[in-house]
Amino acid sequence: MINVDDLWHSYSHDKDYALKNVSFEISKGEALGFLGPSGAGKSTTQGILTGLLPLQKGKAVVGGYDISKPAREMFNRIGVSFEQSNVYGKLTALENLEFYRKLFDVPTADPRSLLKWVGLEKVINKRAEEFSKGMKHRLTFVRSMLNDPDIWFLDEPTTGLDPAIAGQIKDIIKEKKAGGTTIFLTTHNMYVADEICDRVAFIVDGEIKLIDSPRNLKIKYGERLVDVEFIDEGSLQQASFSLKDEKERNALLDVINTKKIETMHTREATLEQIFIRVTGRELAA
Amino acid sequence: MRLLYSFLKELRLSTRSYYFYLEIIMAIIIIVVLRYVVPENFESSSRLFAYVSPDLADSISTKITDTHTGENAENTLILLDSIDAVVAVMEEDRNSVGLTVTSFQGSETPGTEIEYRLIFQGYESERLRNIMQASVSMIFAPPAFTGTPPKAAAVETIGQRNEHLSDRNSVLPPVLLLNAAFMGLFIIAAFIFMDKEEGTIKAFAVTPSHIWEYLLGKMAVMLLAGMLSGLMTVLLVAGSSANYVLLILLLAVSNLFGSSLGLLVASFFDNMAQAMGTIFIIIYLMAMPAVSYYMPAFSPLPMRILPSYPLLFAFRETLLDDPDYAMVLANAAIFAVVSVILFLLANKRYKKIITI
Ligand SMILES: Nc1ncnc2c1ncn2[C@@H]1O[C@H](COP(=O)(O)OP(=O)(O)OP(=O)(O)O)[C@@H](O)[C@H]1O
Ligand SMILES: [Mg+2]
Repeated sequence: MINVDDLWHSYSHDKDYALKNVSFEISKGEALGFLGPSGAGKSTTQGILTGLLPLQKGKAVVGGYDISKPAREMFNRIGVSFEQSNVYGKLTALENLEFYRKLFDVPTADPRSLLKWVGLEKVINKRAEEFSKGMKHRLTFVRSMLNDPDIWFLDEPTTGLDPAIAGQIKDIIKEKKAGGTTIFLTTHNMYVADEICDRVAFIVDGEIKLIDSPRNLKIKYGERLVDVEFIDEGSLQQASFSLKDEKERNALLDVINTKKIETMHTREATLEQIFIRVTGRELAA
Repeated sequence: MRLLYSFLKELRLSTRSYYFYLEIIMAIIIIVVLRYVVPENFESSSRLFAYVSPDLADSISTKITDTHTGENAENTLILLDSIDAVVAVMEEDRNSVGLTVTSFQGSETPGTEIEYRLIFQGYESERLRNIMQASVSMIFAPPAFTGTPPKAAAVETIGQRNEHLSDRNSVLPPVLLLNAAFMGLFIIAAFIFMDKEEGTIKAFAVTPSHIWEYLLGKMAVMLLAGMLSGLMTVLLVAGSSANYVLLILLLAVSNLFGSSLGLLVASFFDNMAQAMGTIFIIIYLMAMPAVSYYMPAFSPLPMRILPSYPLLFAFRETLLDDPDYAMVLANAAIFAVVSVILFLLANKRYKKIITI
């Protein structure tokens, strides 16, 4: 559905690249997550693929449309949710969606049920300028679903939302994905990437460091740990053992055989830990 | 169809922001001021250029000079050497009136019987003409004037056409141009900057709609507001004396010209604060020809090449009883073409800037 080959981009039209040699593809119904710290180039990539930024160098095909000369009708099949909410403050939630749906040539979803889906049903007739940040964000998010897109671009869909609402949004995305929507998602939240995406791309300083499924990444880079709580000489002790290291494995066996085990958990490395191992950078930075 | 929705959306947006009302409120203020504060005609203390033929008896010329510089000193009297000089000076000073006093040609006793002529510019009000005539005829009326009453009196104008506007109506063209046309320039730019700030222009860019639909929707709202305020003003100030067919046409093209220029200008800036200087300079320049409009003698080339110059005079025509159709239509056609060009340029710009 999306093919990107050797994409380069410089805002200043010089050697200062925000994207360098970015290549990836997303097949139909797949969700790819761009995981990277602030300034990595996630939004820049989305901007180019949605025609908001000019394609400077490289090739990009979205839904069969060549991005170097985008056709307007392409947008009937695409949904875009923005990192920064951008709705008309002077219009109500409902009016925002009602006017937006008129811009498409394809059948559109019912704005009321969409608003209900993200918990905005009570403020349907309230002007967006009176909304909180999270409410505006949800309005921006549902607006991207109006045309029931088969390719969905989501720039930081859960950032800045409280956990309950973020959970709701994740559920909606999962539901759409189950329905066959192809998803390009950017985030610096590893849980979102882990939970939603079939594959994640680690991006740092405009370069993709690797792309793989969360599961493969964990198998390949993660060290599985076992956390044990046990009673030793009458007091509660705690220890972690890596299953990769033979010495530690034996130490764990020793504890199991000789001590009284209180609790025992296996722990997988998080995507964040893997990210740090692979890129040498922190996601939060 | 999408254009209609675009228009409806812009209309709703603009009626919820104060800019839209700015234009209407301005129009109301102007109407109130013109109707209740500005008199229909100003008391004009114009200069009177006179020529008194030397073959007249000294007593007569002294009389004229005395009378006119005495109680009736409202108009300054300046004596000149020839009729040609009077006309020449009048062509320079468009606020003046001319008077010639010569001996009556058919007289049997030359130098005692006189005839006088009043020369007007052509756009003086009826009232001013009457005042002048009355005051001049006073000079030759007994008992102040003891000679033979004038044998002949004539009134003529140096202007080609004898059309004139009342002072109140002659305020309208600059007002129409500024409020109905060039306020649109400022307001449409303000709306563009609001959209840029909210980022809604980006949201629009990822729909199958064309940017021209978005821009035209905005221009249509400006057109509506401009027509509304313009027609309201003329209807309540000039009433039935205007030619509404020409007026509507001219209001429409000048409004489109203003708003397409506003779109183009706004495309070069990110926010109002940055654009303010440029927009003010443009509106200020556009207002300049109003000086020439009121003082036709002062019409230097830089003034005449400003687009507002012909528009002002075209607006003036639409308020006359016998307007120059060809002149108004030619202006409308030219500005319609210019507007289309500006719009196409703006469309090109927005296609580009939306992706930056
Ligand atoms: N409009 C712009 N003009 C110039 N430089 C820009 C612009 N937008 C982004 N950049 C630069 O390009 C680089 C990538 O930015 P981008 O917004 O794509 O990062 P991001 O991964 O989306 O970060 P975040 O997580 O903060 O959203 C950054 O160095 C940023 O400073
Ligand atoms: Mg970003």
